[in-house]
Amino acid sequence: MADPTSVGDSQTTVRGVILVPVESTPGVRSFGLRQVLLVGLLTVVMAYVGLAALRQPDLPAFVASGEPVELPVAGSVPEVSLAGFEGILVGQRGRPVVVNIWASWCAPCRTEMPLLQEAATAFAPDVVVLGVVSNDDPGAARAFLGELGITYPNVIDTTGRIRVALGLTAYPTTYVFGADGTMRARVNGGISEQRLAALVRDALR
Amino acid sequence: MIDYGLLSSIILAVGLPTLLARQWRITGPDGPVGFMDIAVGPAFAGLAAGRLTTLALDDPQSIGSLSDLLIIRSGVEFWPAVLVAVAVLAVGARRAGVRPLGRVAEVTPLSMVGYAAYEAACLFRDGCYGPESAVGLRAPGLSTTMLPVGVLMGIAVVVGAVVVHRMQGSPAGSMSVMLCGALVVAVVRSVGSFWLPHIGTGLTRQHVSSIFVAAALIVGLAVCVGRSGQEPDSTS
Repeated sequence: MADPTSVGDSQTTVRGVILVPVESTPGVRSFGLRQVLLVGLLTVVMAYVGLAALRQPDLPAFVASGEPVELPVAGSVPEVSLAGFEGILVGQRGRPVVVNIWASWCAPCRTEMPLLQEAATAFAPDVVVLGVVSNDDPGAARAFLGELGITYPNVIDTTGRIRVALGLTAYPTTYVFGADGTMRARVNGGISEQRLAALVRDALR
Repeated sequence: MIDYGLLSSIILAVGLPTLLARQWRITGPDGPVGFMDIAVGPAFAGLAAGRLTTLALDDPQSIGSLSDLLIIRSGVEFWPAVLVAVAVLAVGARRAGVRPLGRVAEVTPLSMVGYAAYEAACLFRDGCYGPESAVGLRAPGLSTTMLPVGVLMGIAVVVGAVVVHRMQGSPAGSMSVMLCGALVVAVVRSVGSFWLPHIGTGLTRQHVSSIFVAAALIVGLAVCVGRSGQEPDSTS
């Protein structure tokens, strides 16, 4: 067992080895074991939380079917059933469709709609952007579209069946359908320009 | 809906410089001060200013809406946020009896590390985007891998932060240290913007503003270096 013996005021011997206290250099502090453990623990927690955030739930098994229906004329904002919505998607087979579900009371929807408008203009006619008003007053929704100057086609989901079929869990949600009609991606919440551009370009490939 | 990706990014952006401040110390009137102690106020002021600027540019009608203001994810104009944060930091330093420019220069490399952490944490947000690349990451919903530009930007800014930190105490002076730090970030953001996918063919606002700021900083740095060559540095 070590037998510390005092040697003078500032030195200690342990088994014959003289231990001299080292004064810390001003401005420099080394990381102790506790700090290293803390950083390690924080890193693991952050990695877990981050990866959990990235984990995407499976896409809903939604495949549009039925008779093709024409896209609504810009500014008309008709009320459509689930069958009507599916018909619109079927009618657009051959080019990707970006479906954005929104409501006028939803603040992030207001923020991202100019971005969708920009995408609708920039990628036309190769890509279609279709807005679906959900859980909202039709009058408020139409006024909202006019206020933001949105010209891409929009429909109103009056029965709520469209949002159920698409497995909606948040407002807004954006879905990207490929040219073959399969759902390729779903983005819950506001979509960034980078993500929208990347998803659309990927669908166009 | 809690945005865990954004939350993780913010924790990293604040946590890393806080830990690093144990090595890269910030001088206070009575000894070293913690990064969190002096950076939280300026950071919130900067976020508010950046968000208000975005709303003023994109959707002025939303400025009165608290819910619209709080959706940080919808965009925070970077450079107005930095400007306001620096101003608030300098005012806080003066009140604490510390030389404002010296405090800003000390905080610059730490803030750069925080920014780098945020960029690199694109892994935790909505994926890292960039040009298509065989070596890269596949963001959710994509069939191809993309070069993670955010991670590369983060690495570049960390390298810049180390250089800027080493400039502390050199004859360069506090102003030069601060300008160099900002220039590194402006250049990295400008180059990064070229690679990030965007809608349309024109330059994004982020791109234009970073190029403009980089040009202004180069001029400012040249003036600063010119002056320091003519007279003794009174700021360092």
